[in-house]
Amino acid sequence: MKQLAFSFDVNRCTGCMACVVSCLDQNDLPGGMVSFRHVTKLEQGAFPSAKISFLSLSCQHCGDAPCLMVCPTGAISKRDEDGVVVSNRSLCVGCHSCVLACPFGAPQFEHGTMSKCDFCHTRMESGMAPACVSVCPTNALGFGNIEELTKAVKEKASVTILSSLLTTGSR
Amino acid sequence: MNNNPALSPEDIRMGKIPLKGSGIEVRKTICDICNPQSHCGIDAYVKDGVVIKVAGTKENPHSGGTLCSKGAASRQYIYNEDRIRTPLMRKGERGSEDFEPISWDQAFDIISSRLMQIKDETGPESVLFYAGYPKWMRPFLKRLAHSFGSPNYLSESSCCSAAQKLAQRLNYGVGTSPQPPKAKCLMVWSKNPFYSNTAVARKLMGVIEKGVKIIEVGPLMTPFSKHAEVHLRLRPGTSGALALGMANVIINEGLYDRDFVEKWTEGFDAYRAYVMAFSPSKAAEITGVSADLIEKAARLYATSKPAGLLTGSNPTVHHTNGITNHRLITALIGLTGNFDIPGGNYVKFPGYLYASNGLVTRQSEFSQSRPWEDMAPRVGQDTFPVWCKMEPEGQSMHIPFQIQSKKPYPIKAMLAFGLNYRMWPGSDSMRKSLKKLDFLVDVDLFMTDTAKLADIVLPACSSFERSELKFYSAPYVIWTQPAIEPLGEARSDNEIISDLARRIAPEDGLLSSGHEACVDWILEPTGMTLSELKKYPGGYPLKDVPQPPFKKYEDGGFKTPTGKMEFTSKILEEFGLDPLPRYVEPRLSPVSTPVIYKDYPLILTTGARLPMFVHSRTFRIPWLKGLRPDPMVDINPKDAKERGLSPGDPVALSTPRGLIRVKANPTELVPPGVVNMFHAYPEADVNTLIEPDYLDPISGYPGFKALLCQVKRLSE
Amino acid sequence: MKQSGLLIMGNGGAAIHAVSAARSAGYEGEIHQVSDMEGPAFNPMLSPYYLKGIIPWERCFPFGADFYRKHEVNCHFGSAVERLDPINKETLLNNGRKIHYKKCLIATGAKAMAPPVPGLQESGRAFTLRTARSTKRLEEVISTAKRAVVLGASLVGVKVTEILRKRGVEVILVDVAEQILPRSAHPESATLLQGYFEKQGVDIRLGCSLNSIESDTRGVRCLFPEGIVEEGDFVAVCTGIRPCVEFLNGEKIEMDQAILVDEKMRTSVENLYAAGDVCQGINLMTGKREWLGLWGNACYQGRTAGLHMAGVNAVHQGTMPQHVSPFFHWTFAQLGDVHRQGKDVHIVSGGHPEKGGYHLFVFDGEVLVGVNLINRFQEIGSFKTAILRRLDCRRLMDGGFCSTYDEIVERIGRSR
Repeated sequence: MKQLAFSFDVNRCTGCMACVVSCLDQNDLPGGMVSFRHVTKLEQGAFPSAKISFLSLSCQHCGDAPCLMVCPTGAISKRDEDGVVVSNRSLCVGCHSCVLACPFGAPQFEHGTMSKCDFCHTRMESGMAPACVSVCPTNALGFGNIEELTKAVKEKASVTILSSLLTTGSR
Repeated sequence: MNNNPALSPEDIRMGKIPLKGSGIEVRKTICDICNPQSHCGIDAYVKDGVVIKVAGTKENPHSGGTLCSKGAASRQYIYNEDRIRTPLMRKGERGSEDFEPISWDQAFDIISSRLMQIKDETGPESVLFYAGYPKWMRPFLKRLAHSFGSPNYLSESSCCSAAQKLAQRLNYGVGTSPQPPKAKCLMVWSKNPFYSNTAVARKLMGVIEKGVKIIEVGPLMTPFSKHAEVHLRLRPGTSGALALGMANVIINEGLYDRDFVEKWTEGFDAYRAYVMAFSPSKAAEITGVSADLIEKAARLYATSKPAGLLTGSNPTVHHTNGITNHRLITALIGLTGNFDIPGGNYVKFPGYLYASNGLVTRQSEFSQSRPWEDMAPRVGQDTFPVWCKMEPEGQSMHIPFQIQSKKPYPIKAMLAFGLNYRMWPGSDSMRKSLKKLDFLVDVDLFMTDTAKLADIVLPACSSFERSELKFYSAPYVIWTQPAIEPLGEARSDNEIISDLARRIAPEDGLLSSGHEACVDWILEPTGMTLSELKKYPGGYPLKDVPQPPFKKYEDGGFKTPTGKMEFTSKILEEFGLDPLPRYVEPRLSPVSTPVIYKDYPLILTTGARLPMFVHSRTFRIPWLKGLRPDPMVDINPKDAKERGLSPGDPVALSTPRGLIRVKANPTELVPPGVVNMFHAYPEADVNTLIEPDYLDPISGYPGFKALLCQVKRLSE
Repeated sequence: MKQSGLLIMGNGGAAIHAVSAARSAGYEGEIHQVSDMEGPAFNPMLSPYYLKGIIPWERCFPFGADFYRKHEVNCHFGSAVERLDPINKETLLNNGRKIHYKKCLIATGAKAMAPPVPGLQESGRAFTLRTARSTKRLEEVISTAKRAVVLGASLVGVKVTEILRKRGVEVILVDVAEQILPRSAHPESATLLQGYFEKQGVDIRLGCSLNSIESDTRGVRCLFPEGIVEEGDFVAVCTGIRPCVEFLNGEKIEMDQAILVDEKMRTSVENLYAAGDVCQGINLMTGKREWLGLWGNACYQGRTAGLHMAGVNAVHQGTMPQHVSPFFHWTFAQLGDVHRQGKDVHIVSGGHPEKGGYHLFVFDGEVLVGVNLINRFQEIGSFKTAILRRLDCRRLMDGGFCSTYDEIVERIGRSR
């Protein structure tokens, strides 16, 4: 089964947040607290040896998605063709179990029901990249089949998130 | 893109995919929210005449399909509820925000009759023609001013990148640009293109990953910092001393280009003698950067062949000692033999509207429609004579002073495009001065706080709603086509200028004949015509454009009075100023004003870029304001702890002039002892904390980046 | 005696996931499923949404009626297990039928329990909310009710209260504890929530026990201490649950509050597994086995058991106390242990539910042990990680202490 995943190069990310806004524009979201993608600033150390990095995270479309397991209505499912985890708002009752299960803060609640990153799978089906990946000014964000990405990661510095992708599950 | 029958119409609509039958069309335009060095190509997805999504234009070789957060938020910019829909005329008191809609004809009638009347009474020079942002109408506005008879075309260049170019021109006669892909080492001096010029971010990141060595100079941390070999986090305002310290190492260790210095420079002996006083430890004392870091940086820059110097547009010249600092910094280029060589700092031909791609146009000729000697002296000419000699415009920072003094002549009216009074130091004072004008016209997209002070407000088109000629250095040219109809009765700035020209400068046939005719005239030497460019709405890649050769000075010398690179400036000498760039402290600093420093023990720097804002333009965009909702002062965690501050605590940021209420943002972005505050917030305008005359004496630029302040917790 | 295949006792989340996992692991033998309820599988979490009119009845059965045919399950619904004989590996159903098994999973869940209040057990006007049947019964009585008493300000009690208020029924919410939501909410959060519920018209009586209850066909009379008497159309009993293990009949199987299992869902008896609300697995925070009834955890346990029964080595490490529920227009969440006591325990709280959200963090020393949140969930995943990995996140880098939400979030970010 093909499993799509995002790749993220922390050395390239400048915290510009174009990815966040491009996603808001693609999905007509209000922004503010409701956003499918979030950029967090991480500061380590102190002057004169401080380091500032940024992390851009959306739904990771986990191999063993905890949101899917805990959803009581079956509103969340995983696509066979590409492993994208999608939510069906018309089946959602707003219980918030998914937000409790997700390590990445991906589920968003607007008007009481859950929506989240869907990997722009409609765009992908037309040969386009997800909106966030397309816009990234430094190519920090990428995507691909997880097997290919894992090979590439061995050559480049990346984030430990990828390794938890496949095993994220029961907690 | 493939035609995918599996997609339902609903899917397409939801994914906004512009397939056949979806009703979505991709129209090419450019974003002009920030500066001309970006202006990323935009694919506007239009359905039923409305933009439903934006993306970057992949085939634009400058931006390559990228956008920053601001460009990505274009829909909330162009469709913002603050957009002005009709011309407006003031009904109530100035500043009361009481306007009534009028027609364009009425507006033009009122404007032309008032301006002609004022011209009659107090001379054409008493009318100012001002350009803020965007910059695309500038050559046309300047021409309108001079054709009307006024020398007073002024712009936001009075505190933007012109001064750093001026400083280089005092040294070399021209400005330069580095060539990062060809350099072995890049010295980045107070520049963060990842936030200020996102279009080049991808290419720059590529260059970094290829292994170019980065020397970063600047008090703040930037996305460069983790890639830099060395980061010199100097005390704000001491760049000149740092450059002198580096020159000291370079000269003493024999790392300078003797050949170039002997053959092509003037005043080296005086310079060298002065440099000797700035040993690395002396420079360390002044700047706060350790001597061995200074030595390391100097050696790396001088021995990397070639090396480029990339300076920010403004940070080094936004100081009361700015021109001197920048002369000293850029002198290092020539000193190390990196002037106008491949991979060094290259001299381009002047282009069009701040972008150069090798094509030479008639922009200057077009805009200078009347010689200076035929007009009154410009605003700022007596106070900033060097600025006026080197720049073809007035010095805007002098406007409030002349409005108040009425000397050498009164200022009665202003025709402004994108004016923002908060740009001025002591902005509350600029606001008062504007209110004293007899007549103020402001053209803008939005009902800004400045527009609220005007007598007539005219609605302008965004870049999506009009055409413009755009040059990229890539090399690439676009004559953009409107992606959507203008909102309400908005009009293109240049159409407004041509309409006004017909009424207030009718003898200027060219300007009166309209925007396109003028553009064709400007383009004439290039051989390109608009009718040809119109065939390429997404842009036209220029082929075989001859680029200027390197070491142009070898053929005819430098464009300076002596024909050489001038360590000591003849032009300054002519104006009775010190030809040698002697380092002085900022007018407010721990060293120059120790008494003030006791009560205001933090150095305040303002105006550093944030990725989601550019000056005042994007606070009204909810997607962007939501990324950083509150005005915050960046303060080092050590300084925050001393003051008992947690993230988000309400604080008073104060200087001897005033106080603003903001929130504390403890962060390692700033070093201990320095705080950073973003400008232009209506609710917390840091420029009210700066004296209106806190200016560089040569350029007239405000000292935005070295002030003294205190930060104290506010009880709620 | 024919050796049949897998026997699944129960028809809830754990049971369904066990069946699904066994089949996807390639198990091709017989699967028998026994339940005292008629199928298909019901999710008790969804009953409040049905009673609030948010979903239709069919949606309370999220796995559908077709599940059993698709997974080739032999269903024995509407018949309870009378006796389980783990030695002979067979069960006796109450209709006389015997089913043999190779491996058996006990996933019979838990049922609502009434406290020993005189008159309550036999009352015809006492209702619970747990099963499909009890949901329908409660729906019927609500439709004509004007006033009700809810016993137990537990999560279920508060949900029932919300349902009643939405239908315009007067509610008296009673609990012996001194606060509502005694398990999930820190006293400070409970006070906030109590104030909010009172604004919705709920009459809350704390530190209050029910002495006795008198019932007739039309309603109840509840007798409280100090002579207080409250009349209502019915009483809703939301005072807790107990595991359904009557069929064990004294069989030797290790139990505490519920059936004890290891990380492979094995009980102390060979070939006998347990999963879901009937069992007691590891609380990752304490390393001890504790009885935590959570739908998501039940599903993971069921899956693990199913995989194991099909011969695949799978483990489920455990879970931690956690809960999230919308109440009226607020959504309340709990992580970990908000009632930790000790000299090193410190609380950091702030914000407001209607102005960006309310937070309450319980630290034991440097480690985060408990969280309450109202209307602010963006970082809840990282709080969970911080608790489980025992991250040092109370102390700021320079030695001071985190005192705001943002400082804690940043500190957790640095620790990772």
